[in-house]
Amino acid sequence: MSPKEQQFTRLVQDQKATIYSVCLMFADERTEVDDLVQDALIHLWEGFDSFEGRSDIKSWVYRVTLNTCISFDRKRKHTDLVSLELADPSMLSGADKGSNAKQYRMLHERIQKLGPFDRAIVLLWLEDMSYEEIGAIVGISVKNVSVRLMRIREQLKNMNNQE
Amino acid sequence: MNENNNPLSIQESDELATMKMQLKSLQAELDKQTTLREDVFRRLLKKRTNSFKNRELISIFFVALVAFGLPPYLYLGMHMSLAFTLFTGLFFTFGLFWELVIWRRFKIGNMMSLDLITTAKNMQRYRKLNKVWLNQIGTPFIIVWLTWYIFELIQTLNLPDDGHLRMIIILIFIGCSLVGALVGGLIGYFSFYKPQMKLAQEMIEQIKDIESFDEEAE
Repeated sequence: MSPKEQQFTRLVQDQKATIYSVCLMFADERTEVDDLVQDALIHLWEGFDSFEGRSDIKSWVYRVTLNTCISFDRKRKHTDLVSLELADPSMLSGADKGSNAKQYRMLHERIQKLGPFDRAIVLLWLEDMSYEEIGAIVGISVKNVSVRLMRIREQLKNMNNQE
Repeated sequence: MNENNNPLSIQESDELATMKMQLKSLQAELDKQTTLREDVFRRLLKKRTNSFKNRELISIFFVALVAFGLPPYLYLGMHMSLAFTLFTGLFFTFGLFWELVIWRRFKIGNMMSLDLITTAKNMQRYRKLNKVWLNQIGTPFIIVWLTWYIFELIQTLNLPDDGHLRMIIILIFIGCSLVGALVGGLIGYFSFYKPQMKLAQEMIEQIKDIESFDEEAE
């Protein structure tokens, strides 16, 4: 492996949980997770040269992975408008075989009910990112982030009441 | 967390607190379980480009091939007129220039590194330019070019002297060309153009929706 490839491998090793968790939240089934992770890795590799540490590495990984997932989500929605059912419950079982599997499914189901940009915003917020960081990754103002999050919270509350 | 001091920050509700805990737990689990298989990873690194970028590169290659290869063949190989040869050469050179401008403008290989809204806008502009190309330049040109090409081709054929038979062959020739062009056009329209436009429209709506919050927040 070349030094660049080694550097990239290290980056992926460090950020793999972030990449996988974002892809899991956007995927409908197990095979989609793998496809999404592959696509995200290819995009990360393509942008690796121009990254040059200009922003925080985690923010950059998030940006590329979320862009990949949102792009994929649009294509899938377009090609398969019938597939509206929620996640395949078995897809998250690989992540945890114990009692937490139910919790992960619940998280997945709630996030899946949001629109793609809202999904991205809530994932970044759940990662403890500041409003400024979320705004920079999504490309919207800090005020917009806060208004969006308030509405997302309302949506989540309603989901909770319906369950 | 910065937002704790932000007057606009949301209070962490039970739902969000639970979700935060679930995500952290999921990531911890993934961190333990997800192992990168070296062979798969190496293959992936070799792949380097995605289909989007590849499609652009292939299209640039073919347009260049046609722009530089087709005119000499039409003139020297098929003995077509100089005017038609120049028309073909000029159009495909313009097409090549258009493709290269798109390639440079969108920095396609690096598009995903931009923020989400900018990436969506770029994808939308990219599709819009493709639409302009197809509607305002490509389709009118192909109609003119095909008509002229059939005319030039007929001139080069050794048609029989019998006027009636000659007319029948020419009509069959024109009919087949038109049917071929129509079928090709319909396939292109329904399999590429229409889905792309639907996708672009969806993107515009999503961007408008998310940006409208800025005005609302003001």
